Amino acid sequence: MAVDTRATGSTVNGQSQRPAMPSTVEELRSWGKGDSSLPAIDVKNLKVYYDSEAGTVKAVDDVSFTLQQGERLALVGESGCGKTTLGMALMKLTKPPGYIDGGEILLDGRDLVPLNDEEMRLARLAEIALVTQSAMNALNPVMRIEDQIFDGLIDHGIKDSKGNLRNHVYDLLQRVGLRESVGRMYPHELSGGMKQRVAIATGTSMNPKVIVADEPTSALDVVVQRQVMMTLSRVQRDTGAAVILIGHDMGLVAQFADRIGVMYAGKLVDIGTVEQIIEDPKHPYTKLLINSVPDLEEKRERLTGIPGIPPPLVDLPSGCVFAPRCPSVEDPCRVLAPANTDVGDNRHVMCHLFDLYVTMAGSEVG
Amino acid sequence: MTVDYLARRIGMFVAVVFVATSLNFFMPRFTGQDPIATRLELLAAEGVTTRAEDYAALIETYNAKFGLDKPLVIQYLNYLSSAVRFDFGESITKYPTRVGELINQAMPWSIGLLVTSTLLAFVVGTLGGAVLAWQHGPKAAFELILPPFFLLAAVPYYLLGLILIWLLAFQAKILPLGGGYAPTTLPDWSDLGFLWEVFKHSLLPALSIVLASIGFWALGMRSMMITMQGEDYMLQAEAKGLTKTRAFLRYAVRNAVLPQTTALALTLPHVVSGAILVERIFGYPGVGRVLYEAITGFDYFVIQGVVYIIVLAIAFAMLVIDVIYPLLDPRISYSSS
Repeated sequence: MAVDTRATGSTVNGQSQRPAMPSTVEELRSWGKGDSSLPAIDVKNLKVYYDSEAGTVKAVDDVSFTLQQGERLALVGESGCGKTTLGMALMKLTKPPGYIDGGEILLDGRDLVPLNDEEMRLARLAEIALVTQSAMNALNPVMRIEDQIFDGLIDHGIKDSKGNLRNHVYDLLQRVGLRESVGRMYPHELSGGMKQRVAIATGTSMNPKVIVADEPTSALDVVVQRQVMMTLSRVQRDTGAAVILIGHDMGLVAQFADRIGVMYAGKLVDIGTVEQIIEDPKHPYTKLLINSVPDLEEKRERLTGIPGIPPPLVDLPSGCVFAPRCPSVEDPCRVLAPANTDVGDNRHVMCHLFDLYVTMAGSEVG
Repeated sequence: MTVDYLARRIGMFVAVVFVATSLNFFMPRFTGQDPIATRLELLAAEGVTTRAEDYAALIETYNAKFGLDKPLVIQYLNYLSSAVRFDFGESITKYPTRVGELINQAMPWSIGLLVTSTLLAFVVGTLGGAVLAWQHGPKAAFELILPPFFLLAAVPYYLLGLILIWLLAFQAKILPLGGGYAPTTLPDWSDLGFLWEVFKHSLLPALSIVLASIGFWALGMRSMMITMQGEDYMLQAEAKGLTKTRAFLRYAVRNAVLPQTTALALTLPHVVSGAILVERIFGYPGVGRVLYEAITGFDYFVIQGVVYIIVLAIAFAMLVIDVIYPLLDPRISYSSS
């Protein structure tokens, strides 16, 4: 009967039955490996708001993006831009007073937003997994590592012998470069880098379609950061999962990702391939962001920061959110919010310099 | 090393017991009161008259009988040896009843009452506090039930005991006023009727302890649980798609119960001393009452015996908790550094 509740997912886009969830380690190996033509995750007009005394905080406002199977997307932006809120919302882990105000999160064709608690619980880890920001404390201090990985498997209906489960955990640990014996250890016996590797092993324990990695290296030193990113990279290649990497270190994420999404004040203002973003930044904010990253090869006179501070999310400017800090600001920017514009090559920019309005206005003037 | 750890803990246990028993020997003697004179005054009050010349001889005989004529050092050594042998001689006020006999009679009563009610309060309070803090739990019921217990936690056991006696025994006449069993019955532990009577008599004192301490445990647990829910591993537990029950029991409660266990160890002496007053109020035939009567009669040997047993019990409970704590929390290791 447990199988019944797990197998009946909502059917979207005329898809018939969702594949039954695995119940043994053997079935788990092929789980999530099915070749789907659908995007791994397709986010449409997602809004995550917080109600506060001062008004509604639009932490994530009308964000849309598509991630193909096995693709790696990095979300960058300064603190408070909504990237972590977005990551949590994708897992539907938004906590009150926050809530998802609208939009769709199509995971392999199925919208996560209308799912009930139990359906969402089963989707977590099995289809979309989280590798948290502070893996230091992400492990239960009183449980052995392997038991913490078993827990997730058991609660997703994996009924297998202790030996098979243990072998699976050993495989996971080896894949992230840890010894088998780590499984029998407690979190306090591990270093920061080891804990972060355990977090990656846990996140991939059920071969999810999508991994949300929220600043997985922020608490580590530079050398270990690189090692952990390489581990994540290798695991991603092995499992074929799509990864959403949330970070603020442009240099670090650029090495890992296929595409970069730039967030500002709750909006995804610029998204494109790493080359497009780095070589040819379109949005003025992206340009400033790229210019603030030091380049080892190129000698630059001095690094430029971005003048001003992000606007308060309860009281966003009526036009473009970046207008008050934008060096290329024009009058329309202050009154009319720019739309998400496809500028070709699957590149999307949210700026009047590229959208229809200015083009039209320009042509009218011209 | 586990052996090393155990050895150190046992060493600590011995040291604590030694210091406490020594204090227990000297404290009554530094009050300047004379137990034999007290005893004779007691006799005089009962109408036993003594001639003046006999009086001095009587005191001398008594002192010799109880070894109180010897130098303090010798008395102390005798006392230590008697402590090791668990033989505290005869009671002064209840001569010739032996101290051991008094304690043996009272001990089962106290253990039965105290251990049951303390553990009951701990378990109920801890679980209640946990559910109260758990955002997914059946909160509403607990939100109604528990707050009165928070109020009761501020009331001392003995005061609550008095209120309960007045309400349930004196006014409502549902339960007996006091004692371990009715004064008219003969104790017979194989008789079910007698057992029922013992149970009825123990209800009020147990209730006063349980009611007064549930709130304490619930409050402690609730605040720990709230702290735990902010922990990253709770978010991770949810992100791992764990069932609510598992996240609650194995992640939140499992961690929040650790400080509760420490608190249990720390409040144990408090529980014992508080219960002494409860026993006194309810005329319960436990160790508390024996101690109370010994103190009022200035009965050195009974005081020494009872306090020694209490010290041993508390120190032993601490030892047990010290030994099991590393099993509960792997971060506390048995090794020294």
